[in-house]
Amino acid sequence: MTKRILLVEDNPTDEKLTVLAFKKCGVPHELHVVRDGAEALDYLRTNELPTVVLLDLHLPKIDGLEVLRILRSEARTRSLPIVILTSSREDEDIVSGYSLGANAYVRKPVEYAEFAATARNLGVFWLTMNKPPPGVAS
Amino acid sequence: MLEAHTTPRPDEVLQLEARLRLLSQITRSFLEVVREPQRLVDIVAQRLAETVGDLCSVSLLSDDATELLLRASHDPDPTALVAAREVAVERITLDRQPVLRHVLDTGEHLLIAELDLEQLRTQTTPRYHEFLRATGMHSMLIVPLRGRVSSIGVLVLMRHRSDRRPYGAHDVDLAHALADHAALAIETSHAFASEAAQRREAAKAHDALLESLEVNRQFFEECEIPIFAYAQDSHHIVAVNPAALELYGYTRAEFLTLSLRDLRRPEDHEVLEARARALGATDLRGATAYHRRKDGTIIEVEGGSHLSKFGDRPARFVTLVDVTERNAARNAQRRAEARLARLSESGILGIVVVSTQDDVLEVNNAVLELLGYTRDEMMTASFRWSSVTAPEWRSSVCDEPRELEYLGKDGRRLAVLTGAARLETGDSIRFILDLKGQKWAENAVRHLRESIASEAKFRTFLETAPDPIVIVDQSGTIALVNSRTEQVFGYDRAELVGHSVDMLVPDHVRPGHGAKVASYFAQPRVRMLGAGELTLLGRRKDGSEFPIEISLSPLETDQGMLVTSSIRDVSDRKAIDTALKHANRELESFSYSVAHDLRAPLRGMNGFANLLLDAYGDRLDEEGRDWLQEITRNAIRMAELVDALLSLSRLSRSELRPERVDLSELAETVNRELAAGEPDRAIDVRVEPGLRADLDPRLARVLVENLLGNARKYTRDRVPAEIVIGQTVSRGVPAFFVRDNGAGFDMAYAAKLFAPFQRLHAATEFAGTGIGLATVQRIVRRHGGEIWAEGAVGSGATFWFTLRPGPSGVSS
Repeated sequence: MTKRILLVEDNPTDEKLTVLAFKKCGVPHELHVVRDGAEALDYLRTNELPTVVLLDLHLPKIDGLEVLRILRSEARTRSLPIVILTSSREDEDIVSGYSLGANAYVRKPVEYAEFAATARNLGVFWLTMNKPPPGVAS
Repeated sequence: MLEAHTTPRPDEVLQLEARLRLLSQITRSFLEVVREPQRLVDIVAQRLAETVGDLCSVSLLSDDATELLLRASHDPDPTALVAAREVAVERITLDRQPVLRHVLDTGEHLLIAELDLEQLRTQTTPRYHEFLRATGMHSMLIVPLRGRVSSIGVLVLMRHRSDRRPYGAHDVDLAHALADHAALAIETSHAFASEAAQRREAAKAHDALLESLEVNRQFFEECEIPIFAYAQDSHHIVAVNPAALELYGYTRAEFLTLSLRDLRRPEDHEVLEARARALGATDLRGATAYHRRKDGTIIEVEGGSHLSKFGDRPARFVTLVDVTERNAARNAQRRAEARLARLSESGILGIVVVSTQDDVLEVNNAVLELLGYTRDEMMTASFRWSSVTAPEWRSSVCDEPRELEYLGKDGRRLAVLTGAARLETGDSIRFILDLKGQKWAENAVRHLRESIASEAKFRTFLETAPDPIVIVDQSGTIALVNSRTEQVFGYDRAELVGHSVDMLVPDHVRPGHGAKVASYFAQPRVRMLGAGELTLLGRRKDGSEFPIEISLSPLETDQGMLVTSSIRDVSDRKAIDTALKHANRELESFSYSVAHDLRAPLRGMNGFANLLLDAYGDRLDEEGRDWLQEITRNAIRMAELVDALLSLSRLSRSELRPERVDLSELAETVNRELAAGEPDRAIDVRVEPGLRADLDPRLARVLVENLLGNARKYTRDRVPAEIVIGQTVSRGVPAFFVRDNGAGFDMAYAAKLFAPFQRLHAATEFAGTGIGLATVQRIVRRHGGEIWAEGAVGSGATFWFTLRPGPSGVSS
């Protein structure tokens, strides 16, 4: 079964870049994109859980940190691997992200080469190296 | 004058002023003759007859207090005076005069406003009755002469002139006041008289002694009066009696080795010698001098000397008495007298006699009137005299005349001038001058004349004031407001004046407001706008509340202390403050989102340019690929600038948590890290050990990274490159410095160094965002310090910084 990544991203450029970067990561997967916080919650409540969620922080409707808080408060998604993928490097966002239960915090580099490397590393790590919790496709 | 307070009516003022002046004059005339007892009582009778009238007789108690002795009488009408003297009874036995006894015992006056001659017929002798009838006496007032301890006599006043009204309350008051002053003067005169008598007795004794001296050796030895003799030529002591030895404290053997000079104060010697020479062979009498005892104490002696012979040599026999104590007492009395005279000139004198236990033994009406107590209240055993002094003045009370404040029975504060004299018993007699009363009388007259002008001025001042002004009295009642108050609070003047100032404060503040007003009056002081409490609220008539600042200043007026409060409506400023805070928050979130939202398109630019290069690079020529690379480089450069801006804004926002930082250690650490990134550079970095300062450790690192990083960067072309970090005095203050021997800069541009994105070198020359020194300056300034730089092109640069204002900005 193909491993699935859920990308929560509102910026179409970033979405496109991320999709392209992940295509080259070398691990077969399916990348599903939702474009705001509410859509993300809907998707996760109604579909089989993905292997990992890549969550932006600045999102329309429901903010990324709020999405995280809600997911961690629901039994089904309490242990779901969630990686914050954002432009922010504010201490406040990093601290909040971890305290709300993010599994990782990754800042999106501007330079494409770095960005591609980041995507590759994320894909390799979460799709192959990481052992997901029960209930999450592996 | 304030409109809420009644202005005294002119006639009342003039009457009061006249009364004060009269009392002052009369008291002074008493004191002028205080050493002449008979003249004093004559003048008392005369003054009373003139002012209260018509006939006044002064009778004083006999020593055994059983009789009243007529001492003086006066009447401006000579016929009436003669008639009165004809029927006058020199001695009145008090046993037969219960009315007079009552007046003496109680200290209360007796007023028979309208004499009923028919009724009196049986109560007086026919002769006296005829006198009353013939002179037409129609009104009588008997006033006690109240001394320090008890009454010392009475004044009997009678009116006979048909044009005069019966005695009224005003006459009674005036008679009492004058009688009290008279009694004080008479008592004082008695003290002087008895002292004079003692001195006369002593002089007589001396004479007798001198006569008997030559014939009676035994008397010389046994006499209790000190006597010694000295040789007329050499002034050596040749004889002394035991009384003199006791006085001077020597043994006989010692005394006989002395000369006269040894007994004198050195500074008196010349004068006394001159006096002795002038004396020749005559006797010296009634002379005084200061002598020295063996223990060095100085005594005042009074006596005389008589030239005689001791053996066969001429010698002067000196007899003397020690008058030190007596004179000390007399001097004290003189001082008290002088003080009394000084005080009495300025108005009504309050007089109170206070025991060593703080009980009031006697008090005159002036004191009672001033303080508002009855005599009974003040003289009860539980009453403490010290309680009338306002608490903060209690430690200031002393015998010397001094201005301080008393508290009236009703709590009013009263400015008084008070001083005291000690009586032999240890009790003190205290004189009290009501400063306010006196000033009030003076001022009231002046105010009446000036009131129109001054009121106009005061009103103009009030009405032109930009802020509401509310004047409040001690009870918290509004006495006066200006029209700004009406506008700001929405009340009409009439709704405010006479009501509690509480109506201008919000409901939730009212419960404690009265206490605040009271505590302000207890310790009034000028309080400036915005001082003290954070935000005060005012309440408009419609119940709405608004932020205010108030300044308070005490206002001393004829009617007591008032407080002027100037109230500033600071709604506008509060609104601006709030807007500014809001704008700051907006700006923060703006720069935050700008920083992040700018990155996404940059990432896109860079990303797609790279993708284009990767996928289609082979279809472009060299130039086309270079342009694409320009796009990617510029995107990265802009991302760096955005990150730098973000750092700078974060510096301003983060909370400072200063602690003691070892800057030397930090500089070494940072240098090692930077050196690891440039392994091929050899830089001589010297850090002075022990540099310490109080600052936020996180910012300290940013500071050191930037300054040291700069120094390393600009010494890139130097061999050897040198960097020194230390501490010294620059511009007169101790400052830290970072010095390098690098590229330096032109001092003409020194001011531009610290502005964000200002660069003195081309980006191609030295890389960087242009934010480093701006960051350093912001860190330094956030810690209250300053940063400045010195340098020259090609000769390196030195950056100085302090971390706190002033010389204490640096510690090591």
